[in-house]
Amino acid sequence: MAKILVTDDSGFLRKRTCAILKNAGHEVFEAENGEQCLEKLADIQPDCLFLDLIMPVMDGFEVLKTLQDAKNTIPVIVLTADIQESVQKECLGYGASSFLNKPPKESEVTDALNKALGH
Amino acid sequence: MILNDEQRDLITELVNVGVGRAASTLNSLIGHHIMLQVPQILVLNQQEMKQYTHDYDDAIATVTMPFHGPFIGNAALIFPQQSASTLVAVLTDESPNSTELDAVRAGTLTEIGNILINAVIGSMGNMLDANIEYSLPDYMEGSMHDFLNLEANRAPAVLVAQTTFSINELEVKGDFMLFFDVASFDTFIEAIN
Repeated sequence: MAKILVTDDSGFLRKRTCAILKNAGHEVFEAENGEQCLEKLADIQPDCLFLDLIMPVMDGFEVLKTLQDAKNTIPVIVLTADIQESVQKECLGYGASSFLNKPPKESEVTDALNKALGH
Repeated sequence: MILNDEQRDLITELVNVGVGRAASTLNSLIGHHIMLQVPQILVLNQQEMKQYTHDYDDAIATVTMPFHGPFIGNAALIFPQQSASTLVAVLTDESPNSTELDAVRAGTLTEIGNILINAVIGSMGNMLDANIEYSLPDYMEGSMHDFLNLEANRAPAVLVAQTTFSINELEVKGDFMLFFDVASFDTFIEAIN
């Protein structure tokens, strides 16, 4: 069982992603924007972070840059509606472990998580 | 500004591919077939916009997302209120008449709008090898008059790409509308060429 932080300003998407992760037996925590995400990362020390990109207060790009600057070792799976290849490249360049598009399939979430956790 | 046939064909095809991607995404969310109509591509001023949208339902729900990059504009997903309620009920497993539905309606539709608009504009960006950035999506319930009066929709002239889609089994219909700022139109055409 892993501790996973899901960060997305959409309650609808958080619910769907958390349901997939809970069904797989993981403990999930939620954040609604990048600022909350960074606060909770420090408190919870999750094993993995699912991160949306476009959010109010602080977006996912800022979170990625902050984590990269801090030499973060928690794997980050970007989960976004943005399907552009240029954005995928940018996120992987900032150290994201995987890049998934919304809505995620259950198999995509579990495959990305297994890759991130080194299983 | 006048579009020649080749430009119109190119834009129609771009929008077609983008909307096709969005329809595929919506299909994966709700498990029903999405019927699409051929996109309409028009250059309209404000008065012509009002005439063009004259037949829309009085009560609509819209999600709009401004975008910018090589071209600037605003993308909108527009539903008649009843279609919006049905779609949210299907996505959240709530009964269409449930009071819980109102609490999740705006958030759910905003995210659906986010996903589908990204599918449309993002596909176009990929095809044009252009990097497009978005602002946060905005949800509104009201009339078409209210929608056209939104700041983002009040440019003096716009290139409009509009496609209607429907989900027959659910009696849901909606429209994608893309408004391209005419001032950035030359850049858009350059990118297409």
